[in-house]
Amino acid sequence: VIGGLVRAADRFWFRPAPPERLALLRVLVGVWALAYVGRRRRAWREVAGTDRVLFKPVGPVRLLRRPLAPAVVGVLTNLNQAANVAFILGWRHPRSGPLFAGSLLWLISYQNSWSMIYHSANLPVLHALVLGISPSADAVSLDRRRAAPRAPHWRYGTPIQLMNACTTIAYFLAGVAKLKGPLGLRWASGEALRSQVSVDGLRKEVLGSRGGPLARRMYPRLGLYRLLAVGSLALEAGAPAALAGRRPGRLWAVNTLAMHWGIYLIMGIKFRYQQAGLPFVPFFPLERALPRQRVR
Amino acid sequence: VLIIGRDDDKRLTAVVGAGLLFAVLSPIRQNWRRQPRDGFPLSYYPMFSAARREDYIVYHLLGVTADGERRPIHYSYAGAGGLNQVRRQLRRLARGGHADTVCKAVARRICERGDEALADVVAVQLVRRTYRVADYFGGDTRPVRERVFATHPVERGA
Repeated sequence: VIGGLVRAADRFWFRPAPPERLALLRVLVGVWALAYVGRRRRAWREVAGTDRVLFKPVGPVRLLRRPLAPAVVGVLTNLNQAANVAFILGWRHPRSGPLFAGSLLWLISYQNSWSMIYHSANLPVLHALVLGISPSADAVSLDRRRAAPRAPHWRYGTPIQLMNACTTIAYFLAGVAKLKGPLGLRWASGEALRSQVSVDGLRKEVLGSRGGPLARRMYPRLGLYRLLAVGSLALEAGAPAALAGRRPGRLWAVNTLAMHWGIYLIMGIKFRYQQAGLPFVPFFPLERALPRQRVR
Repeated sequence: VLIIGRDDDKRLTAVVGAGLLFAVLSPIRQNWRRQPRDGFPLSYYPMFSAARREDYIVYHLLGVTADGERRPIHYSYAGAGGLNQVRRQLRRLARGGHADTVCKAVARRICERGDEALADVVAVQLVRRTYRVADYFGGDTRPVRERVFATHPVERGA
């Protein structure tokens, strides 16, 4: 029995994949991170200069006793952006990959250390860490620009399995938090979701922003909220089932992507990484988008 | 520095992978704690899990016009982070006795930015308001309770 379990685990974790699939994930996650950090450079420097009483370090930033000077944050951001470009290009990946992933973890943790944790940024950081310490530049990269393409191997498949496992665990945890929260299974009644959507819309309006485009119109329709609550709870608590195979994985990926776009339409909350489909693309054979090459 | 797949060593890859997945899953224990603590990037993802009451309390800014009208001021006048980050910061600053400093800084930024929509605002307030959610979405957007923490004049040309 134990031998059978070990073989099953081996087949699951050490599934071969072409290097191009992992490489394209490196490029996609890298481009996303470059745009994400680039667009926030100024705002993050300003945040770093706010009142020290608001500093509540999380993650690796807990090593700090007090905030860094805004100029230091600027230097770290520049370092991250440079490493990010090298990561996208696949240039000196054994060094640039870990440097990019580590600096992204530090930077986003630092920005989340000012009284608010943005949960939409957890997955990009985890995915960057996996890509940064795996051979994701063995194709579509400057490091291998003159080399012949490599054959599918588990060293390219295992990081993809790890990315998918990180993604599904994150959603599973969100489902468990709802079921273990004060409402338990009553969360699926729809009232809790309506209440969350309403409060979100209210605070956006009083803070001078705009609430979700559908929140006000949907308020009287509790049945619709019930349907959405059951659906989202099933996608979250049932997320590990997406690892059972290709078809369940892709089905879950498409539905969860649709859930994020639904959240955006109803609440106006942007989960940029999720809405771009990036946590879900590792479930698909991305390399088919590339011209076919002879493998050595 | 590449660890996953190095030297085609399945054991090393398995240990690193198992360690990562264990770490990502480990915040699940927060659900059984009396005072759960969230983190980053390892989180137990508590968003949307809390039970909301009928009333909702929120700290926010108001602009007061010369004829006494009061309307919300955009959160970006109070800080550079996102809406929810600034909202939490306003709450912490108000509770910590820093409301005056916040209103003073917001009044200064109103003068600096010269936003047309705030041209008639003569003072800034930091308030804590309680709204009845059902009433609010039924069309009655007035708060049921309010506490003004600080008021500061907008001194244009000063």
